[in-house]
Amino acid sequence: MDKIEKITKAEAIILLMTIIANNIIFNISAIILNSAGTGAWLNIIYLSIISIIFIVIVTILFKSFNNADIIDVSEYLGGKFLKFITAILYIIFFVIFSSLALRYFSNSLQLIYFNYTPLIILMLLFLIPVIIANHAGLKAIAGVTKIFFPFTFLGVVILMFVASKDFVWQHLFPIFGFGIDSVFFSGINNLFAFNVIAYIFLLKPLLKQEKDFKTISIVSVIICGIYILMSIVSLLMSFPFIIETDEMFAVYLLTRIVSFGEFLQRVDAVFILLWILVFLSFLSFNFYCILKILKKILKFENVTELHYSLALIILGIALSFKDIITVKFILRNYFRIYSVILIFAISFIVLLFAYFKKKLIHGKEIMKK
Amino acid sequence: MKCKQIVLILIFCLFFLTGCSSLSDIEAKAYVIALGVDNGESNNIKLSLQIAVLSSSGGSSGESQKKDSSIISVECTDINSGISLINSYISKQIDLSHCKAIIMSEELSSNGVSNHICTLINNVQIRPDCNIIISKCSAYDFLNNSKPVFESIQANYYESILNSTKYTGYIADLYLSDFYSNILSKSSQATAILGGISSKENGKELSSTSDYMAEKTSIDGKNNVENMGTAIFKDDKLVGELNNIETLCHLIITNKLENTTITIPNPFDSNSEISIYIHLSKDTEKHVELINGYPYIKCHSYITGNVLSLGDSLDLTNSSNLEILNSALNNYLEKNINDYLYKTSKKFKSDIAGFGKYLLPQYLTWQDWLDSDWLNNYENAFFEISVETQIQSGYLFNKL
Repeated sequence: MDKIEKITKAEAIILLMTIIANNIIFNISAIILNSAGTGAWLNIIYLSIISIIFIVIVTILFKSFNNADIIDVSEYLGGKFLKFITAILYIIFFVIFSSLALRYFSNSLQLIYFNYTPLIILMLLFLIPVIIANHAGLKAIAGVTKIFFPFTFLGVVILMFVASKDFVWQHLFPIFGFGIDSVFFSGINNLFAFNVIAYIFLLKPLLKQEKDFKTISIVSVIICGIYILMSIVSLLMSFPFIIETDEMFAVYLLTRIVSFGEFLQRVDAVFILLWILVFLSFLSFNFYCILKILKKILKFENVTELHYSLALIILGIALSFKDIITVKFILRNYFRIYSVILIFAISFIVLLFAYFKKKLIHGKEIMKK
Repeated sequence: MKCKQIVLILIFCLFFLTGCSSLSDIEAKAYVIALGVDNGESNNIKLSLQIAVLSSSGGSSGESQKKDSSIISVECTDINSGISLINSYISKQIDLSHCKAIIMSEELSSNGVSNHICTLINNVQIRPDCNIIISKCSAYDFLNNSKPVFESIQANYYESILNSTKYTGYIADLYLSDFYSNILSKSSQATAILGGISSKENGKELSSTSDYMAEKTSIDGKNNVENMGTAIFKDDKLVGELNNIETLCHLIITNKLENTTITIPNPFDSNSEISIYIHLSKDTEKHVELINGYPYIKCHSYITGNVLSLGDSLDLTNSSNLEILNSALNNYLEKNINDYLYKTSKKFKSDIAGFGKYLLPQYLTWQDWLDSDWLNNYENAFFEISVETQIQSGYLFNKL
């Protein structure tokens, strides 16, 4: 953690895919289905197009800033003050996201399998490996994620494939679901599903080869779109009632109906195990991002000691939510909007103005010469 | 770096061991094989649980078969409170993870079952592939009379007894998840397996195989309970029943028919009947449209079959005879499917075949669909049924 470790193109894509996979576990598909109804898949196609255009523009704007992430770019634009503000906003995003996800996933696990295990123990079982993973550094997190990735990825593909026997395509209609507004206007809030872009904003200095940034970003956003679309389509075609009910863990419903012939049934536990691995990678990378930002703004040489404090802060916030309903309420009504504003408005504006500033200065330099 | 990765993998793998912390012995659990719900006498419901007796399972003697399971019933306000009461009564903890069947009495089902079904679907232990049986007798009597004859373990009995749908088509293999989904659906209605206690007296009144349903068969055997036919629901209330041949038609329309043997009047000899082994060669094509606001439903089924009967009047080597036989089978199936569909529409007013979903693409928003009030409009439906059969041959002989 002390020295900046660089990751390869494959490692970066896999790490970002872990973030995407976590969104499915985090019930984001169900949130989209509840807001857009049967039009959720159209909403995601629409949002995917917006996100792809957005990320293409972002990569073009980032081209002018070598080895810089959004924090460095904000420093370039508005000095230490803007850097501090942007960093704080991103820290809030990662800390709240980690806390919400930790509470949500631990609570779901407790309800499904560990009824007698105290919630705090389950949370600690996640946090302790994450602290150790961050001691080991980014390369180790990426490496472990790379080892587990084929299993987690195949798990999702197999889940969709096996569940497909129960699919009824007509349940994808009426096409506009809860109305055109819910798909195209108020449905913009569902851009939250593309929160992987927040990680892309911090990715550039971590890459071994900066030229890969554009490919990694675009590929990740496309995969994110496909992944969420697949999960929404699977859920909608298997459980049409899902648009009106409120599930704790929508994808888990899919795993419960999956069976491989007469002999291999009730395989939900296998999928839960895979999702635990995905969640650990997600949380580890989130920790890494928070620590990286903290290191940048506080000018710490060594942030190792911060691991424990950060873990305690996240644990504290996760425990402070009264119940899982509160977690869902905060996620749907506040965090979703906060993420969209931070990623698609604030970060973009900062990047755009910084780009113009650079062009202006560059133009003046040319004029002087 | 490799070392770090290995350490991390080992830490991540700690989750493989988490089961050890809350380890519970199999002996400490009382595994429910089947769950029955009846109307209670003094309280809301009467919950009956058929629990596996682990110590004597696996034995092959008659004695061990008798002790294979035990039934406990309790009067309670809802299923969960009933389970708690039974938990306090027995020395083990009730576990529903191996429950194979949920039996609800006809009387209870007529008053609505959504509360009980939603309670069950909300239970993590109950599997969504658990079968739903509506019993014509009380659920307690059904459980009490369900004694396996050909299986040594009661749990296997519930699993295998419903397998007959694969080769008879007289019951539809229906799961809790489907039932729940259909209860909540705005485009289809729910069905369940119809069960009851064998009553040989009722069966004697029957003249044709097409009139069979649970408690009304002419089967004489040691098996006390029988599952035959389909229970029809409108919203969450039981509104009617389908007999075996209507259930078969239901399976043809919903593309769930695997194989079955049907008996039709012999077109070559009016005094006899012919048995034909049939299956779907292609999925049934369904087309639904609204004409002046009334649903107009067209179905075209594709059936392939082989003649099982053999007699003097049958010569399957002659192509014109095959055509006559095809035509007879077409007419027989068309008439029965037509009767079945009009019965669901006019008598029961319940779209159990899920025709509503074929109209969904024609609506733009969910509210438009709800405003169309499909489930109530289904009673105005009229049908056009066609069946295309292709009898291939006899079995070992094509003529005598």
